[in-house]
Amino acid sequence: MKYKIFYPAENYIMLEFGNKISEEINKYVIALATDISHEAIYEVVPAYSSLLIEFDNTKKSAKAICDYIKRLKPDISQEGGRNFILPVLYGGEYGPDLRHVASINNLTEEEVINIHSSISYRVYMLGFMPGFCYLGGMDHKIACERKKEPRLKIPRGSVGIAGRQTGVYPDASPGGWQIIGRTEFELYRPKSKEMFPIKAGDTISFKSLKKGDTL
Amino acid sequence: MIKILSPGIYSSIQDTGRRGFRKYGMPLSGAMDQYAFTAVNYLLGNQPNEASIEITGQGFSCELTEDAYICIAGADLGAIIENRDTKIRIGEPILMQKGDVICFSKIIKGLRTYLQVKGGLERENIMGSRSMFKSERLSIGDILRKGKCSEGEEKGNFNFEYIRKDGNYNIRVRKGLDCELYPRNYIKTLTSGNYLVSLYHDRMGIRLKSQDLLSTIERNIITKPVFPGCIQLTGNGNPIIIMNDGQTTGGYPVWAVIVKEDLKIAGQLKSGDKVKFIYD
Repeated sequence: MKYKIFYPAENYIMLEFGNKISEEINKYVIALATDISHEAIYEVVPAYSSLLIEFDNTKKSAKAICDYIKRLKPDISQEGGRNFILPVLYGGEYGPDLRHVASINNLTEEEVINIHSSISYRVYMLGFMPGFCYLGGMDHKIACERKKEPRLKIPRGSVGIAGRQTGVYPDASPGGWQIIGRTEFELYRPKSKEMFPIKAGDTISFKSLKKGDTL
Repeated sequence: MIKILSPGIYSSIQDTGRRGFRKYGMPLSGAMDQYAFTAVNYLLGNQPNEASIEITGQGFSCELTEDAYICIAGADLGAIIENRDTKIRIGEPILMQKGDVICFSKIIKGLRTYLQVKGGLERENIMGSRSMFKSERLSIGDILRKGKCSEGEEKGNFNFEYIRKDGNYNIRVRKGLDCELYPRNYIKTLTSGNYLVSLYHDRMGIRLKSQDLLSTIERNIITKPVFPGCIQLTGNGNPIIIMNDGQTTGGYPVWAVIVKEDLKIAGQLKSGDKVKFIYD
């Protein structure tokens, strides 16, 4: 796969695979990021279609790092992320904006839930806050603009929609997303051995809990 | 041991930062002025990456509950030993006695300074770093125990002249990743502009205000990784410098990146300081 190489700082290299969101490109980015293991590389940060590399420029030159990267031949046919099912209580006190998302799209609340919980979403990348997953694949039929006035506090586990994106808040935070439900699945577990259970390349699907179920 | 009497505007424990978890959205964290942070450890003969107290602005004070060699490096925040009415010189280790109270009374130059003890400070290591993050901060009554770090190489002769009393700074930058999205003249105008540090600056980022009348050109990019020193261009034409606690990914175009050596200057910027960028 073709990419452009940038040297934004003495100790950073950025690979750019084109300004678009595509599953094929993202698979390659993740596979390449996984293959990188080098004594002078501190860490790598994969995104939709770019990959950031931080290295120790007192040990190796940027060119030496690039030569190393170019020699890698990541195998994208092998990629098989895990699937996570997140139980969600939609609507009511847990999803105060479900009604709005339904009415703006001329749907019933039930239909929004059915659409939202029938899709397997690809985790393209993590960022924004610890454990936050950028998901791809939401049905445009349930798209909804962000709230004009962001809420001061959205509880941890809130499931939201912003434009054509859906996502889960790993922690309480201010935010403008339309909140349609809540899950008790923890995306960020600072006290556990596996602090970040979900990784880029995995998939997430949501399962609607019945009325009367509790989180 | 050090007992915090007042944390001042903001103070925390920081080291070289947390690596290996940015791919999960965990910020780098770490000292905002890595030069001064490393210096304070070398001056005391600690390991260069020993976690230290990062003090922001004025108002911090603490009491020593045992004798200890301490040192401060970075901004001049008017540090004194209150009970002895003695100034503490920057970059010179000094033996403190039990009961001594250190006070950082006023900003003379810069914004952040590092207070360290010989032997370092005890603190839990989380994900490979002892840096505090997000809502964590030092508060009144906190007690920090002296660490037992092994002795490192002792070095002196650190120069803190890059921290300026007049608040006028030249910062070297490289071309950003998204320069291509803009007309060449626009980037030139941006780079040669004069900027003022706004009221909105913290460990996440520093918002600058352009002092020139710039037309704004909006460009959309796909969210991608950013790191400390990246200068983003927001919709209203005012840049934001991403700093240590900043997000790991960003959706605003990056038009310039501060060179590694000058990042320490960004860590010392405070409201009202004037900034000019220079292509490296």
